[in-house]
Amino acid sequence: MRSLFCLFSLLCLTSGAAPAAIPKESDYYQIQSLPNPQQFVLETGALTHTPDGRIFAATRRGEVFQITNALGPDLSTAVISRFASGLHECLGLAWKEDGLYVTQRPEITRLVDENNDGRADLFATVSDAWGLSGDYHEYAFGSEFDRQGNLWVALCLTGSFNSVTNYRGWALRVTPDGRTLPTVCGLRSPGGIGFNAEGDAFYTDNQGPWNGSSSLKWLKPGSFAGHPGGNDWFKVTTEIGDPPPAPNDNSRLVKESERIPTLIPPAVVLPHARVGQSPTAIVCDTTGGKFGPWQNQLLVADQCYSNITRVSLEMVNGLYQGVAIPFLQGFGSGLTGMTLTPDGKLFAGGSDRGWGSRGGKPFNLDRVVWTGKTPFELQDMKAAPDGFTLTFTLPVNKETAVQTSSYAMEAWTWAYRAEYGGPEVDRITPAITAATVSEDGLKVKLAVSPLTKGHVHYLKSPGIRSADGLGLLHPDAYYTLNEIPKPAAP
Amino acid sequence: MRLPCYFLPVSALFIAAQGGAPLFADDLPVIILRTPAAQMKYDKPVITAPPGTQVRLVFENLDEMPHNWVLCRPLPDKNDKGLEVAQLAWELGAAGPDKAWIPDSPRILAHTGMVAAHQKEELVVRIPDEPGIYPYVCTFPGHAMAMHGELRVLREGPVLTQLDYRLYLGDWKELPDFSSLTPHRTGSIPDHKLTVELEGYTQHFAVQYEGLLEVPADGEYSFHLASDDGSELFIDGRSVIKADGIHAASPVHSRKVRLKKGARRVRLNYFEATGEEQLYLAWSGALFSETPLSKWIHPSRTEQNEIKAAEDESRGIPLAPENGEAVIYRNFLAGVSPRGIAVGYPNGVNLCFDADQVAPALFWQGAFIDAKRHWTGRGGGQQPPLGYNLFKPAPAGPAVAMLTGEDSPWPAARDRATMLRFRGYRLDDKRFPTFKYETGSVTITENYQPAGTTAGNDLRVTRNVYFSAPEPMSGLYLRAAAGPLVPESGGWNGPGFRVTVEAGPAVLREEDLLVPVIFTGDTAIISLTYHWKP
Repeated sequence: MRSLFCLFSLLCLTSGAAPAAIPKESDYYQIQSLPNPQQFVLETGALTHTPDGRIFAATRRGEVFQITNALGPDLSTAVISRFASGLHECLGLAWKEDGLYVTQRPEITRLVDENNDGRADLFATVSDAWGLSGDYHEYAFGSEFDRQGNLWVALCLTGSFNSVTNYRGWALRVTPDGRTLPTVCGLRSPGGIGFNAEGDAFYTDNQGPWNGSSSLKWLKPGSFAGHPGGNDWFKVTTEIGDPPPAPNDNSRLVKESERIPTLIPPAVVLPHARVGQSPTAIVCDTTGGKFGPWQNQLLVADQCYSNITRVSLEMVNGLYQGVAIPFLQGFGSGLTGMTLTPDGKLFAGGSDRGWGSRGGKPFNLDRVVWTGKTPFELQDMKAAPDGFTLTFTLPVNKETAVQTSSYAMEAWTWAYRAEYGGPEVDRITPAITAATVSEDGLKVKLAVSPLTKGHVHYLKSPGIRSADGLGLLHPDAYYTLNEIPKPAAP
Repeated sequence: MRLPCYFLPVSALFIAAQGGAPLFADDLPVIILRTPAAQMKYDKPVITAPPGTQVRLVFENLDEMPHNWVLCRPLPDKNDKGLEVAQLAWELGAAGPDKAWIPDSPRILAHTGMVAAHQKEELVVRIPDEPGIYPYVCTFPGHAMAMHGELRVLREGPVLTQLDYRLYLGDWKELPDFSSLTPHRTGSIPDHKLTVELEGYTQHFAVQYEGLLEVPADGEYSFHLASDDGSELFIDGRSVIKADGIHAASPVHSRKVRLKKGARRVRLNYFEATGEEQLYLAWSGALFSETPLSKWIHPSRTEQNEIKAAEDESRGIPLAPENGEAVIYRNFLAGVSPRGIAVGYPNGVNLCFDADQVAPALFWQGAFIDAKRHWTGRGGGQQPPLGYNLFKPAPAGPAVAMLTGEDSPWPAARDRATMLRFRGYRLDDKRFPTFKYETGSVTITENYQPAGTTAGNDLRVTRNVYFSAPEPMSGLYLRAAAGPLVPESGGWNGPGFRVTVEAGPAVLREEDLLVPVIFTGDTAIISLTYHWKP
């Protein structure tokens, strides 16, 4: 490892553009471990925060921990106490005035500490309107509240292929008045649910059958997320109409979407084994810049890679699409839960139980703080009719930015098939024909030819430098081009 | 069964019959043998030791009953699991307690005293010189059928002979096709132990080892392989274990094979890309312990780690009530729907309320639950209770139903209870849950109050069920129990339990014991008690 770094710095020196030290993620974001003097087993499955600044962590062992005093500069003063136990594999948390809503394997449960002794006494069932067969794979991932006050639940299939009991492979909504509404079918193996700044729901799905790569998908009510394994349950609900036609095997999503009107392609593919291998929690940065220049962007955790990827979405021709950019790695274990407080503290935790992770520890619960220093990053990437528009966090060195050789692009997609996962296919190398820099140096317009609908467009920008001579902290970006924007009317 | 008063202080240590071993000798290998709570077994069904050595045995009784450990000489013709010795102990009868249930038998080689609940004893055991299978058994009357194990006195097995190697150079990510390669060097290994330290190469090389292994008898043998990076083991040309690709030397891959007596040709293909390089190969058989065939010993095989691993294996993650409070465990429990909610009460009463059928599903006494199955790895599978004297008051089905008449059939079990809606539970100051569910406009809550003790032989649990409705209603019944029930002195005896109804008239029809819900105003109460049958 050391020798790699040396080599890298040497290369930079010879190129003449090297700063004194190569910036690293920890110059901008610091990962801090929460103190755990009682040695609680914090196999974090979900995290949330309360308006008065408490953090709740729910675990795979069915315990819920309350963490106080965790927002100050000195994390060692944080105190963890056990709020509840005896729940079944908790993978969702949401706070409301009337209690803490925990999504556990069999149900959503409202926990209330009625006698104010720091432990929950009331465990009220909010919804248990889904089936359980006893298979460990039948996980239930819960959301925070959406703008209508609904909680969402994403239900794993029974294993990778089948759905042997009600609504396995579906997303449900639980309304404030207690009704449970089947909402989206076609899920495979969700890892988390969250909302974008507009309030639309998204979930992460894992590579497997009908999912060539892991991805972030839009939970548009009434839509089909692509895996037909759970479509039998249309027989028990009329909530979202008729089942979609069965997809053809070994096809492409673009092609099948033409046949299957409710089939929605992933908003953003998280290319398998490139940015991660098992995406989980989703949080939206609405801190107004307290966590860095990512307002309204999504942070997506990965269990296997113990890292976080940043996602920026846009809507084109009625579909969400956007870019995935590596953000932060080096967490202690396999991230499964995240919450971002309004003052810009990100809490992230997980475990490697049953599914190994890069972190190497059996579980973790960490806090991420922004140092206040802005990294040189691709802040956003948007599709244009003839290419892409890049926005940077800091002004670019215009000499490097106008050279098309500072960039390279590849594009590909995955087969849409019943078999597990799949290779990258239909690979092409689009040409970058022009790069135009804005006056303020923050934007670059790339003319790209050809653009391929449905392909992930992988942009590498190794040659670009900031005005201060820095390279990009993360030079790789993966744009999922579901739709090519139409040229503006003349 | 009322326990006789055997809880005498166990003072002295009972020394191995073959004697002469110093107490608490340092540096002896330690074997920790436990009796898990309420399972009537030793945590290790097999102990392995080399002949003629000494080991320090730590015998720890985690159970509520007394247990001992008696090592027996094997019978010449069969493995009787020590039952003959246990039978002699049983026949001591009234004299048994004074002799701590140790009969006079030339078969007894070593034994502990009768170790009381939650006590432990240590002794040095001299392992017999003669290899073989030596049974051990608990001689407390009635325990031996379930509580036995075997000491395998094993020598080390044969090792490789005529070990040659062919070394190849190249950069591979997986095992190459050796047949297409020309060796860089060839040679033989003088001590016949596999090693990756050949000719000084530490990266970008591959080796094909070949040697002979003398199989002592027809039978089943296990091979154990770990390598950094990839490797594949062949015996007589047949692939036995393949651990290809770039990886660390963990875990150890094991595989059983049947082998014929005689010299077998062993071939091992190995490659190293970069980084660390290591290779561990060993084999074991019915009459010899895991015997390394490589120079390097895998860390999991060193003595200390072996003991630690065995300890972790046996310990489990037993959950128990603490501080006088109940403990709750929700997971996949054997014999209950996937929505079981298990509750362990402080006095040894445990139950599981089925939130799917909405009824009490299972009662047991003793230890609560081992969470290890669900709290390690992916957590699949169903976990049976840790305790004993399990009973089910009724087959799956709702606890409460509206019947059109006393003759109408009780609603059958369904995939999901559609009549009763489970609404959760509330914990009281002892963390005892009160479950809540609804049918139509009726709200029902129920709690369980344990009483009695195991030692007092009067363990029981009272179930209080409260109904509230907007107005008095009739036709509602609680099913207290179902199955083959026999009325006896004001109660009903079922398989493994007895039920009495304190408030309300109960009706036994066919196999259902029903209690009509009789409202006074807008509420009704039913109280009944489940007893473990004496």
